[in-house]
Amino acid sequence: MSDTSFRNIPFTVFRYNPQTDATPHVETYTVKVQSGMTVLDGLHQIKSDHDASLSWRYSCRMGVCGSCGMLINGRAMLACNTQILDVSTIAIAVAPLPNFPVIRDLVPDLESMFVRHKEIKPWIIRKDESESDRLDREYSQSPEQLEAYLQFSYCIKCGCCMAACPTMATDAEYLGPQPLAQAYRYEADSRDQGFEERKPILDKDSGLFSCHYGSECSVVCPKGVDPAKAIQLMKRQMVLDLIGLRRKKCSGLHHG
Amino acid sequence: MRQTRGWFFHVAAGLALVILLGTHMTIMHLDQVTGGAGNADPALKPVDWENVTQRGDSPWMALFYIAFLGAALFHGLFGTRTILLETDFGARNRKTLTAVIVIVGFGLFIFGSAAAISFVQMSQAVVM
Ligand code: SF4
Ligand code: SF4
Ligand code: FES
Repeated sequence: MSDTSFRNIPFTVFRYNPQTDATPHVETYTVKVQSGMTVLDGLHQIKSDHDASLSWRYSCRMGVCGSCGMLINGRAMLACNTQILDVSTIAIAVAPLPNFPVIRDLVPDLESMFVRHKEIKPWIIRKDESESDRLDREYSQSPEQLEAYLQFSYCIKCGCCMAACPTMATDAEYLGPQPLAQAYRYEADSRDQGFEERKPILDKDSGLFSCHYGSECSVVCPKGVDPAKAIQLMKRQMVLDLIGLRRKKCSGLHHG
Repeated sequence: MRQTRGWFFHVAAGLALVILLGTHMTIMHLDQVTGGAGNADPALKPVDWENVTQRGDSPWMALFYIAFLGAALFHGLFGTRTILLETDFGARNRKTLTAVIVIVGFGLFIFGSAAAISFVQMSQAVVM
């Protein structure tokens, strides 16, 4: 491809090193952009050509690991999954995901999300724990039963939904879309019997019903998980349980 | 079921309000459309003394307005609490805020219920 296919686009990047900076600031770098380049490529170019101290997190480069979530032109996205020219041909602004503390530059501290995710017990819970020792058996699941939770199991814990959620911004205690969607992922799984264990966690103040169904979480989710939908379905289960109408048919153990 | 129960009763109170407020509006403001339904003398206005005292003669009237008051207070105050809890101030003072809202709610409910009961008592005395 000829040189004329490149264009210079200014990247305004949030910079903050808590060890040396009293407050965050922004710096602008010119990036030589070619069609097909991702924001992640742009950051690599800045690191190699302008400032080697620029920090961000990434790993897979293919929208799988969930490491590179950041705010790109005001919207939470995966840097590796976002082409620069799809966002803007004029200017790019990059900042760390909001609603998380900043470790350095574009690196958010996602620990609060992981803690809350663990709090909702994101694993299959069976009433009879000894079942997990019966390695000669399996839980059968129909395609329809798989379909009920499959979409919600695509979450890569990138934190984009947590960054976009307005309730997260105003209520520091809110469980958040990622953990809440995962609570429904297990509720929708025919193998799971953990509703009673998760119920008090979901029902506490700043829990499930603090979601206003604005759906910004679903708009930004790069994996199509639709956390807002999962949360509303989980609310339905909680209300049905309250009025004694919740029904769930669980898979039993079968010979493998 | 803390949040779930709160949400459920908030919605239930909202639905009750639609019915109770609808009935109130129909009797009090749509008399020209309904031909004075719910009023003892359709020729008079709903707020005329005769109609007011006739309506108040029934203990159902007190019950209706006490239910109306309860639904409106619960729906309004629970909603206000939900909004306030999302502010920094609300998050820091969660328990105090809930206590103040419960006290204000019960205070207004007792005051409003006493007013509804004395209105019925007064109407019964006048109609007798
Ligand atoms: S639900 Fe979507 S946006 Fe949220 S953490 Fe999972 S993959 Fe990321
Ligand atoms: S739908 Fe709920 S979880 Fe999603 S962004 Fe809105 S408030 Fe947050
Ligand atoms: S680097 Fe893995 S999702 Fe972007």
